[in-house]
Amino acid sequence: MALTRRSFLQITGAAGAGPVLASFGDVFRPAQPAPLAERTLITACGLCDSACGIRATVRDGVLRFLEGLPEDLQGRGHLCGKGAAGAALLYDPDRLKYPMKRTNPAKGLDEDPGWVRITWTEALDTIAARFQEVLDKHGPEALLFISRPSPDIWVRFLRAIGVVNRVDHIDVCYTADRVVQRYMIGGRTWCTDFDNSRYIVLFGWDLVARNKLVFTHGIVAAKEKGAKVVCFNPQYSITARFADEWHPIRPGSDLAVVLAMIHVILAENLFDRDFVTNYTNFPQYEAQIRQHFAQYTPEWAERESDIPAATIRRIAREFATIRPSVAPSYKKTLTANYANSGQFSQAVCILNILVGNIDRPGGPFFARTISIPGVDAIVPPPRYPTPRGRRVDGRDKLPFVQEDDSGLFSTLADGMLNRYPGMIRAAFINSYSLLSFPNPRRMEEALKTVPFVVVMDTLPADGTALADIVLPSTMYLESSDLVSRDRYAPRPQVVARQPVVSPMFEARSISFVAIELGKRLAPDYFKNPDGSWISTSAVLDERTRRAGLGASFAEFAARGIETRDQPFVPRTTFATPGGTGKCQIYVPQFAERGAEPLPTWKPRRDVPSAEYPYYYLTYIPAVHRRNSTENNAILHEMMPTNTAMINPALAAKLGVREGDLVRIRSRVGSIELPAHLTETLRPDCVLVAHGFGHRSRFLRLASGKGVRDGDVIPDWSVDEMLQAGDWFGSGAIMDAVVRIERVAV
Amino acid sequence: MSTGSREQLAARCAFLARGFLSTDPEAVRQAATLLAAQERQAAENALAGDAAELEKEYVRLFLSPSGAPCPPWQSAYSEEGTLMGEPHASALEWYRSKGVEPVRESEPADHAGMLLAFYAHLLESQAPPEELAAFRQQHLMWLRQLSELVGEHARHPFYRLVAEMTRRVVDDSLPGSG
Ligand code: SF4
Repeated sequence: MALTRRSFLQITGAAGAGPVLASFGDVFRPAQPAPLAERTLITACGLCDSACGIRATVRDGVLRFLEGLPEDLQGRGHLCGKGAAGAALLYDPDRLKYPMKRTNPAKGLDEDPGWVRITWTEALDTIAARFQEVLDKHGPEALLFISRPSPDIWVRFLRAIGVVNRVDHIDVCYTADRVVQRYMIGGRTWCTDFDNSRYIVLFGWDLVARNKLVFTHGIVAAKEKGAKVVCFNPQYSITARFADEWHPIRPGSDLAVVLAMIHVILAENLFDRDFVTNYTNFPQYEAQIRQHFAQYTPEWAERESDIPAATIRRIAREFATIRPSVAPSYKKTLTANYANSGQFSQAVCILNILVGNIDRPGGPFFARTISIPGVDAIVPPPRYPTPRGRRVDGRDKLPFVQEDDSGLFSTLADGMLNRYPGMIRAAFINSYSLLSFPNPRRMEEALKTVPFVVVMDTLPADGTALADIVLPSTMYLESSDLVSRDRYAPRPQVVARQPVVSPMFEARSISFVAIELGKRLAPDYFKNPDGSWISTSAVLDERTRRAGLGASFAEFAARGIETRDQPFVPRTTFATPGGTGKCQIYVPQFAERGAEPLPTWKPRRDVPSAEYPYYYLTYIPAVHRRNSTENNAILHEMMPTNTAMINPALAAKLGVREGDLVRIRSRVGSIELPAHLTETLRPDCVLVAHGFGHRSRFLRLASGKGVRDGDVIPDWSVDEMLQAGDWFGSGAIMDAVVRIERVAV
Repeated sequence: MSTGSREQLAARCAFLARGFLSTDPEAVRQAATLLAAQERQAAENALAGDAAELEKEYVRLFLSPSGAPCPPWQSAYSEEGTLMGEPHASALEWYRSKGVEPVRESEPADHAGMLLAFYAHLLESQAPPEELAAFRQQHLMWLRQLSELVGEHARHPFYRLVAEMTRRVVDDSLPGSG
């Protein structure tokens, strides 16, 4: 059949351009004027909390490359490999592109969900209707939100509908440390002045490998100036290699070493007398404190930790006399790894207080920030309903965590399956992978009990397979925000996070979802005083104005960064509960509610046994951050899969050779992966990289590569947590012992 | 091409373009009306059945939020393996040279369906053979990889047909200028 102009026109009824193009009027349109020339925009990286300042070069709507922003206090003009490869994440072919709904009601990793595309309107209407139904029939307790407490407009939505169960990953990261620091020094010191430190003791924190630039810059600068770096880690980590001393400590016994260091410093009166006398409650509780720590001798600690007593003594003396010194605690350093991590946080905080480094040069310090009002200050909401209902993760049993408002990943599955089975009727998961949970298999089981699940994310994650509706989320290069420096901020600095490109496909922000669901479920909370709907861009403009950064966000974004030059004045009063204005070495409020006022030795949860004789360790490889970089094409080349790293001595004992398949089994599960022999860790441990083993069926690069390290890590119940004396909600994310066997092939 | 005229090739490309761009059986059927009788019949047969199945299959192959096995964008097949690469910029340049651009600004311009529709336009608008050859070379050769993936993963007869016909379009030699 001949193809004529006429026949094409018959198809479309259109006239004008060529007939083919006329029939593809939904695809092509007349070209607009010439595209914009290349331009540079300032924004902030969003891949880790270093939030490095970025200069992005964009041409014709396409991101060309990213480089560091010289004025930035945190990245100091550099980006790490992950950050520089951000475009690969933005342009990942696997990105979630359109809202989708499942048509096959059967859920499971081997079920084809039968996805079909839906419009945003249909997605939002459906979600709102389902949530409303759950609220009407079962009350707010039946809604589960697995999401961070940000942005503030999202929190406003959650509060407006009376959400009780918002759960985040903070327990497997830093809850314990945050709780402890608030009571002991009046807030979390996210910043450490490594640059001016002369003696740095690191427990577990592999900060050089983690490559959060804000910290690597600092520690490298310190070392160049002659600082001594001492590293305790069962593994000869990248940081250990960088350090002056490496001490292969027994996993989970760091607390013992810190307690013994405190013992030495107190017994020998090496502490900073001025600081301790004027700024802490030491004078009031001196007798109790001295008596308590008398029991923790270095000889005792040697038995728990395998670190010689003489070494502990020497390091304690050096730490107290070569000042400024610092023993930083951060996230997942040891602040979440073991059941005794809360005690560890408490002890490390005392160590720092004793050398008088809190908010002093060379020590941990509070970020200096300018105040940026939140949405509730700009558009005051009606009074929020009081949240009523049962807390699925059992957080209500942990008063300090309850008041901290963080959630518990480690107890969530138990809550959903055992404590309150069937209570959760709908769940919304925002940008979390099941890989972030200990024992993700059990979390999968728990999610399967929920009749309606929404997943919002940028890339397919394990949870996607169990979702009823999937929403495509924007990522940081498509987002707007005011980013206050908070990881190294001796003076205030704000960077404009601005979209360097428009959102890919139909990706939308969680703020958009908050407002759209808000309009449908709690309209009174999403109106301006004049009755119009709240708009995120108007709120952002107002925040910018009230923070004194510019007449509008766009105006500030054109400059992109502002630094307020003000001198660093060390704090002399500390906002601890109780109102004394002093740091609390002894925390009476802990004692009042049944926790230990002074850190007390407790063993880890899982200790080696005849059945499970080895310690299980995990680490986050330098090129990965959480689980989201796993599918990133560039980084994938660098580290495609994970292995079971074991010491050759242990390998010989087990009859395992390089590359042999081994099975690692714990009381909750087993994984199989190839062995990699390395001298770089203790012979009683096995080390597996985190962030591998996505179960999503088609995730093209990542799927099926490597195993989930979490599959052998036990989750637990809140009662078990309390039994272990884990008052501050540490998720015990590395507290596992295992058996290792060669798999016959 | 060995088996037909420039018009037939254009018709195939326009049909395939619809097949890669749309799950609306009516739109695809309309595009099929220009195919030679035998091909048209094959397309009709493959399209018979439940429209919902067609849509599910389309999403599963090209857009699945669990990670789709056959991304339909050329840049995904370049060395970097990411979207919006050089093929996107080049495709845009081609479109603009003929006075058009994609309606959907937030999506890559190197979608298989767009490239095939544009190629049909070039064929139909009597573009010189060198231009056709250049476009083919730059923007159609990768479709062989795509057609292999679709052929491998498709369960629905329509996408098996699309895979097969795409392979033929890429493999067939250039038609004469008539
Ligand atoms: S350290 Fe790397 S990943 Fe983290 S914010 Fe900076 S550039 Fe981004």
